Amino acid sequence: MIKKILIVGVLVLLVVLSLGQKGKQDKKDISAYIVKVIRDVNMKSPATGWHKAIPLSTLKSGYEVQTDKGSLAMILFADQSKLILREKSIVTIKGEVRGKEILSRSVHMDRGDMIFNVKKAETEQFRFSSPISVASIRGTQGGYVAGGKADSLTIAEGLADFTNSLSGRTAHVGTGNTGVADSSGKLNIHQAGREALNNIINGQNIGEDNSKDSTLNNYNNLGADFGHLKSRIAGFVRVNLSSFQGGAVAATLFYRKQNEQAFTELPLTIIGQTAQGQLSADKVRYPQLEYYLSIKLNDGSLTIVPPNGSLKPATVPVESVQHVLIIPGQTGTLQEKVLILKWND
Amino acid sequence: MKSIQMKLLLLIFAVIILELCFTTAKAQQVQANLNFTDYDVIYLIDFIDTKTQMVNSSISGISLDLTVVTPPGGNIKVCIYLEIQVQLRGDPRPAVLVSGISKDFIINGSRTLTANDFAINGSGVALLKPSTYYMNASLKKKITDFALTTPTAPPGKYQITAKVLQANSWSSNAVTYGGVSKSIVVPYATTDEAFVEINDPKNGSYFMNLAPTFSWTTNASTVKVSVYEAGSNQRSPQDALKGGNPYLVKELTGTTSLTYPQDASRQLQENKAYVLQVEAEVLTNRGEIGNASLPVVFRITNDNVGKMLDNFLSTSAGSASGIFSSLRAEPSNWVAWQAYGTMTLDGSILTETDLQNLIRDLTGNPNVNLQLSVQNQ
Repeated sequence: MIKKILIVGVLVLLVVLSLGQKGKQDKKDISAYIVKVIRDVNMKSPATGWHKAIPLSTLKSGYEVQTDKGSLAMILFADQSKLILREKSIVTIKGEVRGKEILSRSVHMDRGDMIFNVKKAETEQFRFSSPISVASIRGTQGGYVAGGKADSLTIAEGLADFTNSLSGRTAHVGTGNTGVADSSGKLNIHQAGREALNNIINGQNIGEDNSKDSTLNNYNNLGADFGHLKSRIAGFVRVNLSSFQGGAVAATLFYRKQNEQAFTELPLTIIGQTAQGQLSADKVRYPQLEYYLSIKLNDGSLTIVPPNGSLKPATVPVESVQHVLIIPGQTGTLQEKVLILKWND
Repeated sequence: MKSIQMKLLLLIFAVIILELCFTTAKAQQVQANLNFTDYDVIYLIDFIDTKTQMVNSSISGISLDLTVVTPPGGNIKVCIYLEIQVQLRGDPRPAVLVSGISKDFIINGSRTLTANDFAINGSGVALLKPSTYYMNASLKKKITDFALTTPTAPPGKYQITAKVLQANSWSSNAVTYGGVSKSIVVPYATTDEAFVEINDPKNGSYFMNLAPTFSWTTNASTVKVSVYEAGSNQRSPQDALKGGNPYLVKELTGTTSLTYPQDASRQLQENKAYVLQVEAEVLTNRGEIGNASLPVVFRITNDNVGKMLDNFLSTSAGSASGIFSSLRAEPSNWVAWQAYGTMTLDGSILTETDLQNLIRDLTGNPNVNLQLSVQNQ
């Protein structure tokens, strides 16, 4: 009897251990990507020093991102949650995932100003923290400013718990309100100013309404190199995947000519750290090519660049060239007369 | 009374003698056959000796075959009454141009007389006796005057009559053993008068069916219809008629249209060009002469490319529309022709579907500035 109990106990222990082992194996550092860079944005990992961030740079737990004066960075998580770091900000990304489940996620900001749009998750809460405050948010749009003698959390949509870490005071910050936590331990909630809310709402559109932002239109910044595209001539695209550090398993370019409804899907061939493919001449038309990239990572997540690219695609200029249509023909007296039609796109 | 009886008796004898005479004459019959071709144009100089103003001894193609049929194969001494009536174009009625009775000659069963036998500088066998010879001077002058401008007989109706008379006859009303009369209508003064013009197809037109109908206008009774393929190396209709592949050569009488026949040596094919020519055939005493129509080019094609460009360019702004419509209209009648090469866009081959897509794109861009030019190759 004792032997049987012992055997069953050993089996249960083995199962529990194996399950525990399995859980440990699945747990990974969270990944995010810098999908947009304006001017000077730097990043560093725990193991490396500061270096320039480029679009599609991967961020893992412990990575830091810094924006200089007049700069901006957009960070995108796998669940499409988005952070927009404004100038003079510095944040540290932390978190863990198991498969597609986000176990924890936090952004620590020593100083700076950011706008966030966090997708609502079932269990996980997104935490923003600073030396003074902690904000726990879920399915919320808002802005978080840290540094100096006070932090502020403004909620444009949704609800957040805001805590003054120095005093331990906590309050709910709802839609249209701003919470302020200061170094004296106070925590006040008041109605948000219209300007603050507008800044948050307008800030959400950065990267989507990019038609006036020449930097965003530059294909080099998106990691896609189209070379010199000429109208109606087949083109070639190369996408630098080095920032994924080998994590990209598939890349697809969706492209179309201006004013066309449907995108043409072009699965790119991945060779080393580069994905490449040939563009159909039929789609390469003056004045520009519209496109977005879909990159599948080895954790199963999908990154769309630019975000919401199917609605707000990136563009690359296409040079107008003169086209020559030649049609050999015959007159009624058997003379060969060739019709030549020329036009510029 | 005796005197009356004598008179009656003499009358009965006379009747009997006359009857006997006629019986003798009727017992001899000669079949005459006049061989004379229905020429459309006659070169008069070949018929008349300019020195003697008489029948030329060397006329060929005219003969009078005489055969004694009663008694069969018998020998008969005869003479010939010959008459030529002429009704020139515009004359109200025919008139005798020349007539006369020949010398006597013997038919041994059968005999063929040629111009040489009637000519003064020929054998003279059937030379017309001067005392019986008649010439209509005014009609002769009319013909002579005509001959001053053209060496041919004036158009009109010519009737030749030959009677085989009892020998030593001096009148056409003498005892006749047989005879023949033949008319020919000379329609043209010159070969140039025979004309033919093709009505359909128009030069440069195209058909989508493989059995088009041709029609023409002509004053000739017989025409020759020819269709030749025009290859890409033949740059004129004349080249095609000389060096192209013959598809159809057909002689037609009494019609002015033809639907391309199933029994042609070759059937028409799509995307090929052809040259049609119709010749009015003119028969002269110097041989047959064909007066050809102007050659007409036609093509067998669905002309998809041309139609697409018609639709597109007719609505486009600028000069392209005018240039193209001129190119497509008569007399140019331009069509896209793959035999000369393929369509290209920026050096790449373009299919009809590609062109359709291209036109759709260009149509969607009304600001595009099209420049159209045409180059001769």
